[in-house]
Amino acid sequence: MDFNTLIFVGFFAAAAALNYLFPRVLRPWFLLLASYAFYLYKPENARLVFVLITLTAVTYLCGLVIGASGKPAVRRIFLLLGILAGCGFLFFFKYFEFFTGRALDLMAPLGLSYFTFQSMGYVIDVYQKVCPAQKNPVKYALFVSFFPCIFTGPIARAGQLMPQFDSPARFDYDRVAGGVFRMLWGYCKKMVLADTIGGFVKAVYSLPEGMPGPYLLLASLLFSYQIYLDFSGCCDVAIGGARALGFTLTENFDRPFAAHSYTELWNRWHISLTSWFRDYIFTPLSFVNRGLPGFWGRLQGWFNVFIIFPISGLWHGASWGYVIWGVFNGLFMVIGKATARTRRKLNKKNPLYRIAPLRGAVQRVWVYLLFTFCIVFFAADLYGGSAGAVLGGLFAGWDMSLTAFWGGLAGKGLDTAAVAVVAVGGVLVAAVESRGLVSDWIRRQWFFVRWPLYWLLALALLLFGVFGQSAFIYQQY
Amino acid sequence: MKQFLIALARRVLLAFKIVSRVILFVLPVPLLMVWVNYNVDCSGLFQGDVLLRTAAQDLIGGQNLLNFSQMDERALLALVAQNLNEDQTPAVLALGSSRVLSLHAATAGSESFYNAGMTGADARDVMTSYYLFVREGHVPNTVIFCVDPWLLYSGEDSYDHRSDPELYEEFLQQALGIETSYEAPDPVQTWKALIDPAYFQGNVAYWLRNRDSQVAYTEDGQATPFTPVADSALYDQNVVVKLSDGSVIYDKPFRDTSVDDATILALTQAGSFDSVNMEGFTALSDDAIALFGRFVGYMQEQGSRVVLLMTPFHPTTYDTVFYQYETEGQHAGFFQVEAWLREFAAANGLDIYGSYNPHTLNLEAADFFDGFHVRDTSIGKFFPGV
Repeated sequence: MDFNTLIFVGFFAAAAALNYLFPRVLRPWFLLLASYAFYLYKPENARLVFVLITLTAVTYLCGLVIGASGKPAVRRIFLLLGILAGCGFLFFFKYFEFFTGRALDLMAPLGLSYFTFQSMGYVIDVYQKVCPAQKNPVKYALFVSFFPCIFTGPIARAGQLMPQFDSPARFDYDRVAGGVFRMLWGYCKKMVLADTIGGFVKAVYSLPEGMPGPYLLLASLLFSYQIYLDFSGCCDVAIGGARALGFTLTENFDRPFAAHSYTELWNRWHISLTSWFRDYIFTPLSFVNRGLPGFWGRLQGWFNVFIIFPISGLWHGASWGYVIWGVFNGLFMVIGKATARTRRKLNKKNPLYRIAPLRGAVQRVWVYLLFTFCIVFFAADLYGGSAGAVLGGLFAGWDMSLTAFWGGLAGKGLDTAAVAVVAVGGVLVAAVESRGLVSDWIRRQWFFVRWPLYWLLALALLLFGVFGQSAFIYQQY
Repeated sequence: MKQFLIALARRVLLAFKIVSRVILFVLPVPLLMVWVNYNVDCSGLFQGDVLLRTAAQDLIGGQNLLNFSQMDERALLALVAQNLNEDQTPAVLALGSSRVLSLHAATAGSESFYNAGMTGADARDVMTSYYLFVREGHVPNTVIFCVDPWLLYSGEDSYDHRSDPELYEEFLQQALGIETSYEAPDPVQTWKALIDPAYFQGNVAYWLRNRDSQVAYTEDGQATPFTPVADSALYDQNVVVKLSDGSVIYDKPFRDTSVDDATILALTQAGSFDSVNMEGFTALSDDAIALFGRFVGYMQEQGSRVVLLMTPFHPTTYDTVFYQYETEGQHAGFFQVEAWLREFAAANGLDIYGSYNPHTLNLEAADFFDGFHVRDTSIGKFFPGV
């Protein structure tokens, strides 16, 4: 079931209420049942549930053996088995056609990329003794299928989430209320802001050929913000939901567009996936290649940074658009690292650089523009347009009048009201999220601020939300 | 024990706190949504088409409206019945086709009067018209039942394409107890719209757009053609006016038709006489007779006094049709109706007025608008009112 449906809201309310009615020892059982009910709600998932079950069983056994065995060879074999199981399912359902060119007409199970990474991460963590093997199959199955994060992440880490299943939190009104507010916040970000922008972006990107440059530029700039609102909104729902159930999930975003550098942006964007790649690909690669001298060492380091991004692109989907998106991100990261020292030296001689607000603004704008350039390939893939047509058309059609531009904007779904909603909403999101976690922030507010805010958000959702049109973008990965 | 009670009290208080806050958090906005969706209802899911709903409310409020010809008369009647208050139940209800639509409250003899006649009304329309009022709890004391000849014919061509077969099946099953394929509609699908956020947005936008407007608008922004008209200007209109009592005042050109022109029209209409729900009407239908009897019985069971009325045809139309009957044996069914109806009235103790034959009523060509419609000013010549 999709997060942005009334059926999910009802399901979640019932699950949360029942969760606290069960004795704490039984809650993992109940939540496992709820998670599978959530997963099986869609008939297409029901047909593919064997993937989830098989992967859970295999990685559970691998974890047990790795945890119990003292023999390095056995531990290594079962580590490989666990990774192969995850990668095998991923390859078979997601990448077979991409790599072999032969179509199997298979539909990937929803959440495949998330639960495979989660279970593979667990096996690696047990192997690396970062966390102990989970002996209780119910708790492990719940870890893999926990419904707030199975479709859209964040990709949970065993060491962080599993211990919480051992001793589920007692009911705490502040915690639950904060979680519910965060869900509402996430819904508003997605359905009021992201989907309003999304209508325009889709209109432009689904047929970019012949589209005037101003629209292409605006749509590209807006898509970066849209995908942030969409994905972070989705994570707000997931993290808020888990919080209301008594569990803490990894934060997935930390105001990425406040970043002053590209590296910082990627430390703030999709944190659970980036840290997964860092811990399970970048760090082992760096370890293997350690000790290379001079330039070759630096080159190897850059390669290690670079390679993560095309892989990340593939994680999003088996298409060249995502790969190219990853390649450009990787290049920008490498260029950023390679030129860091030179830029620092040059900046010392630049008088404007000493004006902190100006420096910060320029850096943020620059980071946003680089990110937007890469996201063109992502958006083109998502909406079925051509990235070449978007980039090629950027410089055409700038002779249109402002009235014509405004009229065309309204025709593509961004009328005055929509622009006002996005502008006001954007400012509100930036202002509130700069004050820490939304769920904590709201609890610090005075009663007479908090309650009107609840209703205002709910009303905004009702009045300006886009209903029944799109699921969360990251739900498809 | 004391500690247990204190712990219990704390838990009860906590539960109360949670439940009250959940209610406070959850209820206001959905309640607002439900209220707006029901009351604004721009698509007419709950209260009927916006323009017709407004028209119905205007009529009930005593206003006369322009452009009757553009109204969906069947839907309008349902909305009038639905929007009437208990104390607005008409004491006298007229049923029939357009041949009774010129019967005004003054002629009917009651200030509490509603004319439920509708253009082209067939047997299904007439019966369901009465049923609509009963279903909404508005049983009239008296029914002026204008019986058109085709009501006693049950051939395929006796039905008008505009009548509502589903409502008719409901009437047969619910009112007369006749088994039909009628199934009560599942209200869930409709009522889901009450909590449909997209519908809420549409309703809010509609309300914002039209909140200061004096006239009703459709969802698409089209203004209603059913605008009120002052009493003093009722007879100056070039379109048909629907009066607040349900009757109509025809447009000025139609009313000003000369006697000669009306006669020419009557002659033309005589040529296609059967096309008015009477194609193939060679004899009274047993089924129609039985149903007619049951319907009258049903009205009486509800407590309504039934008065039968036959509105006459234009002398030229009647004479032409009668000539065709005598020479070629056409319209045999039509010429059996009046006699049968009089027998029926006598057998059931019903008052009966009028005749299809204008000569028996001493009416002349000048008493008619055309071949089928007697002038409102002439109805009093054969119907004294109730």
